[in-house]
Amino acid sequence: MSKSKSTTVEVRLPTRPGYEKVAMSTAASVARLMGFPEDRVEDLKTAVTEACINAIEHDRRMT
Amino acid sequence: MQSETKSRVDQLTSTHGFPVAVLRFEGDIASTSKEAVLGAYQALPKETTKLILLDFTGVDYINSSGIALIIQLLIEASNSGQKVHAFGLSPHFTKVFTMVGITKYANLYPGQSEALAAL
Amino acid sequence: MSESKSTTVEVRLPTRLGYEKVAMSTAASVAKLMGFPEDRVEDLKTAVAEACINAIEHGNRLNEKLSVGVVLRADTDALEVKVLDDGGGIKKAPPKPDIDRKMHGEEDPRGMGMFLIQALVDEAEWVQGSDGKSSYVRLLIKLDK
Repeated sequence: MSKSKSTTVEVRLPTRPGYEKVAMSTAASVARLMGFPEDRVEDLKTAVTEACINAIEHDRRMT
Repeated sequence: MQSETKSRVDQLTSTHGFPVAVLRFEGDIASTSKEAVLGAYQALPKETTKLILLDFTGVDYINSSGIALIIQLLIEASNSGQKVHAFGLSPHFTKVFTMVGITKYANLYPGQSEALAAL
Repeated sequence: MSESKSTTVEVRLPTRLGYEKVAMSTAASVAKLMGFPEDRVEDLKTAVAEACINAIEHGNRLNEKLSVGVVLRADTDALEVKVLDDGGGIKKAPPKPDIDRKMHGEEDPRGMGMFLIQALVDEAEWVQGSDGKSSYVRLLIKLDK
């Protein structure tokens, strides 16, 4: 099995408050599958949540 | 991609004084777990192992392929005159094992102390 | 702001065993947001895992060039999960698993996926794609159960 091949998981989410949690869980799941240690998974969860909240907020301000 | 299944064996004595081989699993139990499940079972000394307890406390994820491996273990044990029971399954997986009918052939206990007390 | 009645989340997974766990996390997360109790969330996770494994192993035949689609639709009182693959779908439902037959070697120990799916969700429907591809299984759990 070629490990150099990248694997893609795509997620499409609504810009609805609360759904950043869905992004967080999904990202954490992929990171764990890839073998990241738990502290790194926690970092990623926080980063993804913040990025999504930004996107949701930005979308609300534009509407 | 699946969390490597780890297994180890502890030899304990039940409350009623019988030797019990406790086969402890850790990680996922899926199609890639054949060695950890069946391999570990087959490594138990056949002549002296009469009672086996499967410890699922460290298992978070079992899918139907994993359940099939457990059934294979039960079949081999039955053919060898051994009794197998289990403990440590979450309420959800206790329900799933019951749906599939495993409880007809193996008792499921909440924890190790309950299992040893019953044997 | 329009509060639309249903919300959709889409996930595209590689055809590789293990990635069903991602769909499980996504489905669990949406179900929790909707207020489903813990035991129902666990039921859905297992059903979604089995559906994805079927899509990976049988629908897409482990072909890594293909992907598995998961579409979750959160309505006011129900959560629908569709798992799509590029296979031809199932023509005939396999017989219900029989533990006695399995224990006596009369039946393959495997093949419990569809049975578990049906037993764990409120509605399960297998749909064959009209073009020989794009088949899916549709799972539904309802909030007022």
